[in-house]
Amino acid sequence: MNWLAFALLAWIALGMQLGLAPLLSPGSGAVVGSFVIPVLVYIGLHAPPRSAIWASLLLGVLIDLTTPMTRADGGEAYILGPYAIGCFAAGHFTLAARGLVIKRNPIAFTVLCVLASAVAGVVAVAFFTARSLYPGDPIAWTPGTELLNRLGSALFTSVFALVLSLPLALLTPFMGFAHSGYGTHHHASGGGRAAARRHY
Amino acid sequence: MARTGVSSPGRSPLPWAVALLILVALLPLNWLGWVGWFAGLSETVLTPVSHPLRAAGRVFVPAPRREDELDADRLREQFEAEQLRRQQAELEIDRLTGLVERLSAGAAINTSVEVRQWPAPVTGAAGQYLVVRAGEREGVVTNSVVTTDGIQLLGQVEGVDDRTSRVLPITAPVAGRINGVILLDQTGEQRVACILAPAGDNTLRGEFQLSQDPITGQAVNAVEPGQEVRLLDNAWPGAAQMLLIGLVERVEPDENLGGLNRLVVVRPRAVLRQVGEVVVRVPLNAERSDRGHAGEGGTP
Repeated sequence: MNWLAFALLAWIALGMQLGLAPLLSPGSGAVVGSFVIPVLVYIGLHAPPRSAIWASLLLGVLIDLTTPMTRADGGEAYILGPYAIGCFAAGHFTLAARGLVIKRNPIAFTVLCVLASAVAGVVAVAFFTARSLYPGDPIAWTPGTELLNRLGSALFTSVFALVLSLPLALLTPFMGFAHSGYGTHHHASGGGRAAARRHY
Repeated sequence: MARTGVSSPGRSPLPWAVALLILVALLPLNWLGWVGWFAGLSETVLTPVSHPLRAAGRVFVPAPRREDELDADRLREQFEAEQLRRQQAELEIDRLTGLVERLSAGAAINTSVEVRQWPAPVTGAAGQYLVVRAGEREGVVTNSVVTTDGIQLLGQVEGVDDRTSRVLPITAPVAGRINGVILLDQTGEQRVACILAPAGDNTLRGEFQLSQDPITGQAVNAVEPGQEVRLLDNAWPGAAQMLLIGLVERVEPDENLGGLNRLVVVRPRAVLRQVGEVVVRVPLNAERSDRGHAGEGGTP
């Protein structure tokens, strides 16, 4: 995988996440769709597994660094890890599922994005909930509400995923993926499967 | 489930990175202050993308108004509305105060005649007449006297219907001559009679006679610009007597008449065809002048 192209894509996706996603948020703003998860799923569908997992981890770290948590006393705090691990899990989920879907199908891509976003959200909520058990933890946290918000965000991510599916598909030649046939009609080719296994 | 093919812990730093992240994720918040620096760095790196996108997005999705902003806006609108109402009330108070003063001044003139002063707006002009929104319903009758401010004579009602009346200003070319007196002093005891006719330029022009010094027999001109000229004309209703016709603008010699006769130019205090509001002096006993039209009167 071309890591420079990935960095550029991640930069744009995170910029869109910070700049556009809050504007497109429905309702009170608790449910926010993700521009980053579609990139994660896109990488997970096309890149070699190790690259995909590292990319997922990096995207998760960047989400952690750009998502401040509200403190009970009114300030904000950054916690590194919950979304990184969540995205790590989502990356694994995508890798596990990519053999089952037609990766260029926008609907399949969208469904994967929703599920991956839900996985990442659930893992992150689990971490934050575990943290909230610390005595005197200053983060304002209500697990039930947060979980619902994350699941709502996962559903809303489907809109962004559907919109991004075409431009992401057009970017594939520039991403330097070593193989692109896994999960499509090319996977019937024994040579392609063997090449894919070598990459893993 | 398909194999994901991620390398084993011994050959890759990935498991160590994940373990480290799990550890960091569970650290107490007091130990995570350093993350803020990286967050700031991330924000700095991402701002060149996020800021233009947000600005562009704001074009299509306006910023939602917060509840406190809405409250502030509501309060601001209420404040502005109250301020407007207060200003309007002050203007109304000023207007009414002025009206009371004018009406009081008008009522003080010729108190022997009982009149009801009825302020009315001028709604337009019909030829040389002014149309005033006060008619028979308000007790206006033909020949009712109309002033501009309670003192300044404007003219006389020439026609009246249910809701409006038509007033002929004294400066209208078709208005007849009127008799007046020039007040030579503040008390009004020394007067000079004059006969005035409209000149067509919002002035009235007429003759008066110079007085003679009883000792020397020489003509004495005591008429000066600025002196008041009041109505004193039997052809006009009693409610109009001693109302102000105008102020002496200038005195000219009358070459045609010669002798003691002089011409005086009198200018009303207002442009009578342009007033916006008038005061109709409605006689309480609905007196009617025998005079049919203003144009016919004017002789003492």
